[in-house]
Amino acid sequence: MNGQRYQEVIRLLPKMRRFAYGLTGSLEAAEDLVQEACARLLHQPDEKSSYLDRWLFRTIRNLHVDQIRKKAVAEKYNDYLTTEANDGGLDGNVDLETLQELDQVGSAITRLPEEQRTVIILIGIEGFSYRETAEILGVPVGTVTSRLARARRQLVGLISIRAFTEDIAGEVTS
Amino acid sequence: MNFQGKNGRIGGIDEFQLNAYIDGELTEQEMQALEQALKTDETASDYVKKSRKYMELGRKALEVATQKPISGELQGVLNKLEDRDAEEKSPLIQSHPYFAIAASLLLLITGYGLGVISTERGFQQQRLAAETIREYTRKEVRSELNRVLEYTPSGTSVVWKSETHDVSAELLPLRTLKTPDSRYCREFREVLLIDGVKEMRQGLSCRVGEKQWETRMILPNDNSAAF
Repeated sequence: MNGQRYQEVIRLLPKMRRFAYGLTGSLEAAEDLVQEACARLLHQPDEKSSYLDRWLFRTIRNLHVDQIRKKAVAEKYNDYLTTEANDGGLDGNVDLETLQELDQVGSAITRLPEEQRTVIILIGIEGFSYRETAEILGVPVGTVTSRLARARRQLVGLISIRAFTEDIAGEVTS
Repeated sequence: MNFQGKNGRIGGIDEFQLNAYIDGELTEQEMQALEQALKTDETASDYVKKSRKYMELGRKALEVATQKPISGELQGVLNKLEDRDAEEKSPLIQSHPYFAIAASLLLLITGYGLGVISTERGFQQQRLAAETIREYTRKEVRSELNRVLEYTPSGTSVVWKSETHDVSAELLPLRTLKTPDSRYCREFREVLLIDGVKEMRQGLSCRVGEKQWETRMILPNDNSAAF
């Protein structure tokens, strides 16, 4: 890995940004997390970061949990989480139906408890294996599979119920 | 459709087993057995389809984070990381400064020698060699551009340097577009520096497969200039 960390970080950057955004629900807060993780990498001895992807994702997640815990930072952080309207959006032509589905899924993910949300993003979205996820989170694989099962069940349930409710509402108003 | 996971089962299939199937954690044999079971289990089959669809949508919902131009602070940290890598890449010169001096002297002598034996034929060969290098470099840059378009967010430039020739390129994805037939295209700018000659172009590439991008349009510009 000697002298190759920059290229590896650039390769991982989109994944890190997606992960951090999934954790925080805020583009600004996500950028702060990724920046801090990369800054910490500067002070990390090279030989200890041979599993760079896992190290970076673990650091982002730990920073996120720390920020939630720290009261002083929480005020600014929670402000990000609650008041920021996304200033971005998917470029190009995305049809309305897809946008509606995206909103439903995005909102369902952010409503999951933090531990479940982390696991579903790492495995379901970023494609880490159960073992790699266990290493990132520092928990046994059994814990990962339990959290994943709860997360997936809740996610499918939340979206199905919401879609059903909207269908009913549509029928009533039409 | 009820996905309550009663007694740890979705439909008639063990929930953990079903998740392991969705996440590609099963062996080939286990996977085949589970696919057989799914054929007759509508609830479990629907759960698998919905899980996969929601994960794909979830990825798209988070994709917005990769489209945002990176902040100046983050770029600053990345630059430091790049500098650190460059320092670590040249330990020989760092630990043995005499090596650098000896290498410079050798280059000077070689250069002088080449100058002395240069003839008209020699110049022609050099021109041919330069053309070959340019062509080779463009191929290398195209390959690097594929990688950048696949992984690098818009607004983030990647600097590439040839390990063998005096060539570098700065590649910058400008924005991502989605065509009505759901194909992803990206506008990009590239600046090539080959032996002190700058070539700049801006274009549009569309994704035709995994890590495969096809350049569809090159915008005309008159910014190419010798330094």
